[in-house]
Amino acid sequence: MLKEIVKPAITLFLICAIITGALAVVNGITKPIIEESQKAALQESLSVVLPGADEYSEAVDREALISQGYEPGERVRNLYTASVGGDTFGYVVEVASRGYGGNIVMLVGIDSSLSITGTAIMSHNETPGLGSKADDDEYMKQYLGEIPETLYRVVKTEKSQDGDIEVLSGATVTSRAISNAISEAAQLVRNLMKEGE
Amino acid sequence: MAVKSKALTVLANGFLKENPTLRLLLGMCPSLAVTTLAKNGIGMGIAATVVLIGSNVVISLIRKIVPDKVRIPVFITVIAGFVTIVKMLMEAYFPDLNKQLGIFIPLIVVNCIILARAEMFASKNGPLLSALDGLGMGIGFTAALFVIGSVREILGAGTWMGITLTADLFDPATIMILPPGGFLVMGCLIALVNKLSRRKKKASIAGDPEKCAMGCPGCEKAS
Amino acid sequence: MKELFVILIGAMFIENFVLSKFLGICPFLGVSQKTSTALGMSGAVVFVMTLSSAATYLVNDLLLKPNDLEYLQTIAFILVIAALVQFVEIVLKKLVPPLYKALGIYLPLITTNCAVLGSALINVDPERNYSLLEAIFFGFSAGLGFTIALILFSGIRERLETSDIPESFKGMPIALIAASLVSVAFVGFAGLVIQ
Repeated sequence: MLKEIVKPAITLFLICAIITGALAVVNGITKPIIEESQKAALQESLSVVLPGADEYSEAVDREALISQGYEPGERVRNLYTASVGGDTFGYVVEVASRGYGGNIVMLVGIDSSLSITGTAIMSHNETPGLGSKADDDEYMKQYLGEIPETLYRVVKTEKSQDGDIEVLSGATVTSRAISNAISEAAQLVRNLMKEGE
Repeated sequence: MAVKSKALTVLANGFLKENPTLRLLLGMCPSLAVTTLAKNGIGMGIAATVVLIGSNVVISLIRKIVPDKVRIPVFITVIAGFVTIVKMLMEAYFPDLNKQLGIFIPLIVVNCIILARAEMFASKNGPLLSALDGLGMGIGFTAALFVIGSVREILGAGTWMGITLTADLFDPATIMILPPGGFLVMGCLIALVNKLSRRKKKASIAGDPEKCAMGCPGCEKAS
Repeated sequence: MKELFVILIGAMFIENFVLSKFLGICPFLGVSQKTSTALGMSGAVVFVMTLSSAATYLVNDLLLKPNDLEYLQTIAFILVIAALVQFVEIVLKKLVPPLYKALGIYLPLITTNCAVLGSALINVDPERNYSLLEAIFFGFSAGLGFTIALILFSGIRERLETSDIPESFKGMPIALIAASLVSVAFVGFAGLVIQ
């Protein structure tokens, strides 16, 4: 009776212990590689959206921004400061905005003359083929250049003023989500710059 | 010679006669979910193959010391261990693919193919044959996923393995890479396999629903 | 309250487990031939998913996270779910025999139902940042979504039985094509943004 219960229990326990041990070993090997590759991927993206800087700071998250007295929009996640030789060169803002199928996470690079230098979509769950067309250069190119006073708005008709963005046909929700997020990134950096003066 | 031919039969079995996806209808969730691109199908297939071979070999090695009572929990633990290892390796070396497959990598644990092979084959055969069985089943699964992924990618995105085929002359039918397309392509492919196998002989119809789509316990009972 | 409503509608329609996330396809195709069995299976799934959401969330929050052991999630969750299913089976058998009679035969099938492990994994996704209550509610709502899909589909399957179908399409192929049409209906929900 005792044997019938104890033996299976011990076997199961031993096997669990061995497997957990094996996992700990593999985790020890892969964890540094994963962290390294994530870091490298982030650095790479940062230097794509805001080229020219030789150093990008660690991420300053939303809570830290609020505690420093800024009022980041609800889509702002992280802020990276780019610098050249110790002088601030520009900022990269990580924003997340709810699109058609979950969050669209983006990096927006803005230099010290308040121009958008580049954008990159880090992850999205938009309808493949429709919303994910936002990855196309044509749509994203509209945001490049000086940030307009009124920020951005998505229009379905002809563009009539600065900051008008032509909608991605068939993907209004995605277009708006991106436009809102980029506007908030622009707003944040504008406030940061004002502070610096 | 006899040993060799048996090994070959075991290997070919998973690929053709008992193709896990298109004949036995096991592991439907990943077959439908990740096959929006041919490339993802292959990635998923290879990840599952590694887990299949690993868990088959280990289960075959420990089959004599595991008491019958805790057989299933032990199998699940071994499988989950291999899945976690595969997941960590993918995160480290193929981060993009890992992102694409997302939750379906850890869900290999509950992929019926793996537990079914552990129960039906590895717990009764030696490690070498079990490894071959895992390899054969894995290749069969990968091939099926690759075919489904290719059909969906070509029809739904107009590309194949990332190469554009439509030359941007017309818009592809996006519905094929959305969930409905997954069900549709799968249904048509199984019908095709049925038709081909019936022409050969009056074989049993693949995917007799009573038999195999109940999940693993259903299959074990049926076998 | 509002967050919970968003989770409910989201899990039931927008990201329906079966029809848009492809989780739980095996039971969806396997036990949908009669509405009565579909109901039994759905009941068992809702029950287990709600409980397992709570259990796995707590395991993750109290044991794995503080010790930096998140890589053990998969293995811990599947063992918790397997143990939980066994436990529920024993308790129901002893305490609520009628319920056990109704759900009993479906319970062993649930351990390998990827919807259950799927919801456990989604609950601890840092992108979602769910609290315990939200996680439990998500498990429950996803179970309801599974129920909706299964009941809708079993109604169609019952009619397919009597239809004249080409030989090669009999059985699973025609069922999959029917599922495809049902899921077209659910694609329509995808654009719903609740704010």
